[in-house]
Parts: sequence; C-alpha cells; structure tokens
Amino acid sequence: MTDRDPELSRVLQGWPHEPAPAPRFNAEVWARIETARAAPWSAAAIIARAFGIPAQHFRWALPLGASIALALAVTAGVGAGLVHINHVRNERMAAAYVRGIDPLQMTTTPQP
Amino acid sequence: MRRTVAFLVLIVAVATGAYGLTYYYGSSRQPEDQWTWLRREFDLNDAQLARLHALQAAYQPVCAGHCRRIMAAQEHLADLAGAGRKNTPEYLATLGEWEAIKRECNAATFKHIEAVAAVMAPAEGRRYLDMMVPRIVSRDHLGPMGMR
Repeated sequence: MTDRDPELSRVLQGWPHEPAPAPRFNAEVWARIETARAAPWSAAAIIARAFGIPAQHFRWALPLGASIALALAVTAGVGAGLVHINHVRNERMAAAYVRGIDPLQMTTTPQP
Repeated sequence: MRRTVAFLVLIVAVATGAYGLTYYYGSSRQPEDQWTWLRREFDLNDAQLARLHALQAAYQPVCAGHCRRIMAAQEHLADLAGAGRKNTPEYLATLGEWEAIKRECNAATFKHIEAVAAVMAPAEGRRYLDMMVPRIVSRDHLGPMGMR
C-alpha cells in the first residue's frame, strides 16, 4: 500500500462528500446560548453544565432565585400542612381520650 | 411587573397546593389508637406506658361506677320531669344527689389525670394537664341532660 495509485487518488479527489447536518443543531446551539444569556445562574443552566444535558430540555427553565422560591413555597406548604394535621389529630385524640375517662362526658350529651 | 405578580400568584398557588395535598393525605391516614397516641405525644417509655395501663385498669371500675350512678340519677330526673313533678321535693333531692355524684366524679377524674401526669416527665406532665384539664372543666357545668 506504499505505492501511490494515481487512479485511486483521482477517484478520491473527485469524491463529493458532504456530511449531513446534525438535526436541530442550530436550534440547540441557540437554545443553549439564550438560556445562558437569560439566566446564567439558573438551576437548569448549572445542572445542564454539570451533567451535559442538552439545553433544549431547559428552554423554559426558571432562574435560580425563582427555583429556590418555588422550593421554599413547597416546603412551607408541606410544613404548614403537617403542623395543621398534627394539631387537628391531637385535638381529636385528646377529646376522645377525655371522653374515655370522664364519666360526665360519657353520660351527658352536650347541646350544640 | 406583570411577571412578578404572576410569579407571586404561582408561589401562593404552589404553597397552597402543597398544604392541601399534605393535609388531604395526612387526614386520610388511619387514626392511631389511644395508647399509641399517648406514647408518641407525651414521649413515654415502656415503663411509663405500663404504669399508665395499670392506672387505667384501676380507674376503670371507679369510672364505670360513676357512670352507672350518674345515669341512674339522670333517668330518675327524666322520669320525674316527664311525669310533671319537676317542682317536687323528690326532684330537688335527686337533683342534689346528681350534683353530688358529679362533684365526686369530677374529683375522681382529676385525681386520675394528676396520677397520669405524675408518671410522665415533668414538662410532658404539665403539657398533658394543660391539654386535658380545660376539656374536663368545660363540661363541668353541663346539666343532668346535657343542659347548661
């Protein structure tokens, strides 16, 4: 294979090879640019950078502050729900407990 | 400005939704039995729980006896009232008897809850009394047929 084959060289030089463009290449590049430009510190941008996830999946990503605010809202909502349910449960249990040890409550029917 | 308002509305909606879901799933859970609740709420250990079981077992006959006497007095009062004898000495005597049983019953109930509180750690015992005493006192002024 060290001998140069002029015929092969001629065929190779005339071979018209144009690789097909990657699908959505431009869109992905612009999406990534826009995400970084609009919110360089968004949680999505950080995750995308860290894990190499295509930016197209984060086109509607929120800024980091907004993500934290949403997470805090969920935490506050769950926390308030747990506190309330615990209070209601304690009230019910305490009322049932007292009904079980207080003969007056067992035998009298309070008016509404 | 509009985006900020929309975002604040979203935050409130998310927090409310999280609260609602937590409350819904928490409410639909099977309720605890009395002993499990007492143990968890007042941080009782096995020995304390066993002593509470013993106190409850000793108090149960006392409580049942009071129940029987209260119900007998109430039935007697209801019979007299039904027969139109509400202003008779017999009715007033039974009412007096009912009041006496009520006082005796209240004293026994308070003695029991104080004994229960004494089994708990001091802070938990105080919290137990704070939770139970108002519930007993609030029913203290009920009349014989639940009339105030």
